[in-house]
Amino acid sequence: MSAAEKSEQQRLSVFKTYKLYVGGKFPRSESGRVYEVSDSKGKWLANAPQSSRKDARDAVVAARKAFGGWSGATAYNRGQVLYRVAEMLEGRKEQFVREVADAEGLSKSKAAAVVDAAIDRWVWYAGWTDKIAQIVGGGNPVAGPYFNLSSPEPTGVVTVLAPQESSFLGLVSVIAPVIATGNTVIVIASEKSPLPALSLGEVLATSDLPGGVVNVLSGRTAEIAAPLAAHQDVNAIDLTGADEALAKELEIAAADNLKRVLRPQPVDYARTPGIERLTAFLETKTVWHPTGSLGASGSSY
Amino acid sequence: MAFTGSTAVGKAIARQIAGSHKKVTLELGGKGANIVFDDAPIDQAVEGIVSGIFFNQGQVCCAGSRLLVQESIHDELLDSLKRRLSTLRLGDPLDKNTDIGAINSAEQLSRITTLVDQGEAEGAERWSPACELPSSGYWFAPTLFTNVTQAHTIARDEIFGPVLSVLTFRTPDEAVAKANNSPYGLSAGIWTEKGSASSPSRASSARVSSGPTRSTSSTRPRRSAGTRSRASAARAVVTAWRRTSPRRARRASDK
Repeated sequence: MSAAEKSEQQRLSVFKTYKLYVGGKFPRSESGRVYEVSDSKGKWLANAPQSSRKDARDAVVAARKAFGGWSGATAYNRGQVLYRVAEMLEGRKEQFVREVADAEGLSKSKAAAVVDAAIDRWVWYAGWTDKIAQIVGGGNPVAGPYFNLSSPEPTGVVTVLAPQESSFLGLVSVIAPVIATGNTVIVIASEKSPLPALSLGEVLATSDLPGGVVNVLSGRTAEIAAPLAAHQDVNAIDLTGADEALAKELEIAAADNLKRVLRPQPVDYARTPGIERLTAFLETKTVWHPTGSLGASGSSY
Repeated sequence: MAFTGSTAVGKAIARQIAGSHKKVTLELGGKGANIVFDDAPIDQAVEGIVSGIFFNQGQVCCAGSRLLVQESIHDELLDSLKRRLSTLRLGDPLDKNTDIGAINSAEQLSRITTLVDQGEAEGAERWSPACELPSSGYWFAPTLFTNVTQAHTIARDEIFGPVLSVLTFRTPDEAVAKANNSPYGLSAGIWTEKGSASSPSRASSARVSSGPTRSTSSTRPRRSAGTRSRASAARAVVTAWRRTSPRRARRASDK
């Protein structure tokens, strides 16, 4: 037995503790609860934190705190940060290929294709950050001495129920468009396969993304989503990961402060997305700006 | 489905259509703020305030029903405003010379009256110009309240009538905080002479420089097309302020 082999045998295995990603930190659930996550064949993979209502509320506080800075950053800067996420993911590709393969029961090559697509998705949305305003905003012709301009503004704090099946590509496809436009997000990872989402938190933490812009929670989707749908400081909710009954219940709760609601719809995440998810969480602000020229009354007002 | 009306009914509709595939547009309440800074052109601001709250007797969702005045010009502005209100003509809404017509129903009139009485009971000072009301019909004289605090019902609830609440502020931050302190953010106006020429603020420079470099940089009440979200109008105020204030831009990192 060689020395190298001997030391290999003596080494204790290092298990990864998967943790939440909230406000740029990696807390466990305040409840102390975890639940078992297994692969597609039922083999145990890891324990994931089982978030509570309190974790959800903490995440809202973090997301709200981050909103001013993130929405105030230039669109160009947000694009740079999103591209940086893609760069960081590229370097940790192997880990994600393994996690996605385990979670979704894919072969290594198929999982690699999924991870590649997810990285490309970050790049795609990175490009959109400083272009979307040209598509959905602009000057308006008005009958008066005003310069009239409509511009898109982020909706605010958005809760996203990530797709249950597509644990990584689907996840990226629902988060990236929300933060690309300046919103901050609380994402509830796929209940069955939360590990790629929790690992994404580690990537986001090293990608120049300010803490709190993306907050990742794992646990029972229905348990975490209910307080978020009813939360008065959440401005919108994407119900993608909810089944029909849960979606209806959450939409009713969301009506209390008139959140914007994106209902679940069938999506093929492998295809290039349109701009629907970008515009779903934008508000239109219109400004009337006197031009200083005189109107019929002889005054500029 | 498209609905324009009260926020309570809007919420009921949103609950009702939950789980369906119906699309909805809700155009709900507003408690817009006009913010007047001490360097604003007073006469122009007064005109803007008057058309903001007394147009269509204030029965407008984007009515500027709150007036935020910088403390140092409060008295001066109020004098001008009162003088201007005294010249408004009440009467037949079909007459072109009429400034203020009637309230649309007895029910709405009683709601306005109740809220105004409550405002007085809560300690705000009520003022209306001396004007004759026609003998028949649902009339309410243009009214303004001073000594109003943010806690007052008249500063919080949508009155949907010709009633203006006047609040004061000292610093720009305070103005923004007060303007945003409403679940009914929909429209806002900012009156200041500074702004466009000197605004170095982010993301908006292109728009500003294509506005006037001199004259005023005041904005008319803006209308948010989205209307469902309080955040949107809240940000509208904040963003507009960024646009008009060089001081604000220096603290670009805070909200």
